[in-house]
Amino acid sequence: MRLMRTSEVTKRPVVTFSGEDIAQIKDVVYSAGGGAVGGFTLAGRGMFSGPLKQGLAWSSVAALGADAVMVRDETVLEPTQSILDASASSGGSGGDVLGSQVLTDSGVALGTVVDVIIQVDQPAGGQCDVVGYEIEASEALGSKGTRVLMPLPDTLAASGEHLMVPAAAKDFVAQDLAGFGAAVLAFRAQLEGPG
Amino acid sequence: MRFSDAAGRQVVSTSTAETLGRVDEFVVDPRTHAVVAVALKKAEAGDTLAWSDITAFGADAVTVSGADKLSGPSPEVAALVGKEHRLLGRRALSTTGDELGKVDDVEFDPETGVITALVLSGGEVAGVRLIGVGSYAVVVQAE
Amino acid sequence: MWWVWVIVALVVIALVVAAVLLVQSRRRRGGVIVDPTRPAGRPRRGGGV
Repeated sequence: MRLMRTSEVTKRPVVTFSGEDIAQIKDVVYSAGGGAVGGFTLAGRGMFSGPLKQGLAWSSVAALGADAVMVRDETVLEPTQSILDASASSGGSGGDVLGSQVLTDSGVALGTVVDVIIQVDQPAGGQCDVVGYEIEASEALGSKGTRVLMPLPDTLAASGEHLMVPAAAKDFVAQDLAGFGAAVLAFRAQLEGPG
Repeated sequence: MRFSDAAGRQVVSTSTAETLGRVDEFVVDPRTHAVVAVALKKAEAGDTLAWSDITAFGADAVTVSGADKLSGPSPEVAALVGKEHRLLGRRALSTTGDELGKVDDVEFDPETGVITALVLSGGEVAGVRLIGVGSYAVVVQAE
Repeated sequence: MWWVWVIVALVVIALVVAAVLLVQSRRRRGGVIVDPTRPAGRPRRGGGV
């Protein structure tokens, strides 16, 4: 079980088992309901290359390692739209969460999202879920301007502008990834409640 | 025997005792993790020598029966030859997506051409774990 | 009036550098997209998808 920041994953090369780098990761796509990462959009490898018309589904990833995202071969890529559709919700209000404001259900702004934390079961295969956000704190968290890690409940409402979190989330912030795994578990245990 | 030792070795014809060229690069097929051909330099008769045409890969010279064994690369070999199919000095990447350092050297069996080990900066890896050689990296099966 | 051309050249270089930096910073922005919209056509570029 490994925690990573999406800022580390974007721009990582996508390499086939034959040793060719076919793309680099552009965006991470996930659904708010459950936080599962559906896949990635891709960009070309050159200095000036733009986004590719194909994306990479999480199910096609052979391994997400520290230096590369491995795939069997280039045929596993699929049209970008199908990656987006797979994570789309019926409400479809989504967008880029980076820069969006984190709001509690009581209407208090806790900060702005600067990074997203994902959890990968094992490097090769398994589940990949968004488990929290790194936010630049507002005064409400007591330490304005610093960066803290905030765990996610299993489901939450998110759009490109706001992220709704239960007010209790602010009691579970962590300072670094080492302590964050425990914070996520504790937070979710608390949400589920006794029994 | 290692790639680093064998590079530059003279290729000699057993019929004429002439030096036909020198070993430049090794062409490897990742699927069989074996050397399939040797690319030559300073060779007038041809720039490629298929492994099957080598009489012996000795410690001081590579022997072939004659200059007629040298040629341009066959289509299969041509597909493998090229800058991106060099092994020495290349980035080594595991199938788990983690870099393992560089390929410092390659150990091979001079009788069969089979690669027995890859010497990476991080340690040695059995030759059977060679999965692919591409323009970005040499891919090695994770343990 | 050779100095006019020097200034023009410097301005052009500055503009080119600015354009390159702009293109680079745009590309650099790898986003994290939640609940992508399900549009009829291609996704929007820019701040969102």
